[in-house]
Amino acid sequence: MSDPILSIRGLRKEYGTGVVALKSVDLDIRRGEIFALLGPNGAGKTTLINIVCGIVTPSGGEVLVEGKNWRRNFREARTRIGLVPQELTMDVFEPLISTVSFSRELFGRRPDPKRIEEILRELSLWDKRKTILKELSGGMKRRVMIAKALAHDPDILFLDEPTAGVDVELRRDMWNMVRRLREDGTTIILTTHYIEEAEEMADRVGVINKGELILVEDKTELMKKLGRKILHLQLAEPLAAVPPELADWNLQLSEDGATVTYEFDAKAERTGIPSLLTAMRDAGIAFKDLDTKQSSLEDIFVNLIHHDKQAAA
Amino acid sequence: MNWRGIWAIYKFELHRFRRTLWTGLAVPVITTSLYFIVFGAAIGSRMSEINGIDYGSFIVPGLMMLSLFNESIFNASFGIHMPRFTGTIYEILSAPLSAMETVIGYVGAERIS
Repeated sequence: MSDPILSIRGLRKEYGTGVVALKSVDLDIRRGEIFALLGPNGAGKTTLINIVCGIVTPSGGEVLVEGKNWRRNFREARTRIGLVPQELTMDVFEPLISTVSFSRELFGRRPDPKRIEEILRELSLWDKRKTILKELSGGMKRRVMIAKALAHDPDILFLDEPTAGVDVELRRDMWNMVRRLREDGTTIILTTHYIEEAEEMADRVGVINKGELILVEDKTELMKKLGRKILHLQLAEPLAAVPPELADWNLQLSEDGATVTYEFDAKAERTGIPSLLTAMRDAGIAFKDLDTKQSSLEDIFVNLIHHDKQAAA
Repeated sequence: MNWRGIWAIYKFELHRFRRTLWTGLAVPVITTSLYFIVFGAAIGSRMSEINGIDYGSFIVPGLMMLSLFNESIFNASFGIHMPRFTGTIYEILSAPLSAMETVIGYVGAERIS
C-alpha cells in the first residue's frame, strides 16, 4: 500500500469550556479512497474536519498531508484540500459565478473561466450562473457549496454531511458525482449520519462517538465481521410455541406462529443452521420457505454505539 | 505570498463596496443633515462666534468629518465582521492565506473605498 495521503496523529481538541470534542484521534486516509466518518450528532466529526482544514486550532496532535505537517506547510496543504461545510453559508448577495471564481482565486489558482464552466456544468448550475445566490433553492445552494470547494481543483475533498436536507434524487446525483470525482483521483472524506450513504459509497468506514474513533474498517470487512444474519423459516403449520427440543437455538416465534426467526453469526465456523434444520425435521416441523438477511451497516452502527455506552456505564 | 488570494479578497471587497454604494452614501448624508437641522434649530440661534468662526462654518466641517470617519470604520469592520457573523469566513480561514495576507486584502480594499 502506498503512503497515506492524509495522516492524523493524536489529534485532540478541548474547548475553553472544558468540553472535550476529540480525545486523541489517529487516522490514515489512503490515496483515492472514499472514507466515511460515521457518528451521532456531537461526536466530533465536524471538529475533526475543521481542524484538518485549518478552521479550528487543535489542543494537541498533528496532521500530515502527504507526509508534511499541515501547519508548517499550510499553503501547500490547504491548496490541496477542499471543504464543503455542513452549513449553507455563502455571500447571498453575490451572483453564483463570481462567488465560485472568487473561491478559485482565493486558493491562489489562476483565474480559469473554462474550468469554472466545466464545474458548473457538471453540477447543473451553469444556467443559473448569473443568479444572485439568495434566490437559489436549498439543493442548488448545496451544489454551489460543492462548486466552491471544487473550484481550486483540490485532490482531497471533505464533505461535511453533503446530503443533509437534500431530496432523494439529488442525493443520488451527488453520490454519482462523488464517484466520478473519485475516478478522477480525488480522495474523499465524508461525514454522515445516514448509514445508507456510507454503505452505498464508502470504501472504508470510521465510527466516531464522543470524540473517540471507535473503529476504522473496510466497509465489506466491517459488514462481514460484525454482520449478524437472520434466518426466517416459514412454517407449513403454525406453532403455538417453540418446542422444548429446539430451545438451544433461541428461536423467536412470530405472533401468528407461522414464522420462526433464528439469529446467527455469519462469520462463525458453525452457524447452527444444519443442526437446527435436522432437529426440526426430527421434531416433525415442516417449513415452506426460508430466507436469510444480512444486517445492514445501520444495525452494526447502533450495536457499536450501544456497546460503547454499556462499557462507559 | 499568495498574491492571487489577496487580490481576490481585494476585488471582492471593492465589489461589495460598489454594491452598497447607495446605502453607504445616503445614510451618512441623511444623518449628518439631521444633526445639522436638529442642533441648528435647538441651539443654533444661541451660539455666537466660536474662536472668531461663526457657528455654521464651525459645525459643518466637524459633522462631515464625523460621518466620514464613522462610515469608513463601519464599512471596513463590516467587511470582516459579516463573514464572521454569517459563517462564510470558513473559506478565508481554510484558504492558503496567512493572517497578514488576509489583513492586507481587506485593509487594502477598505483604504480605497
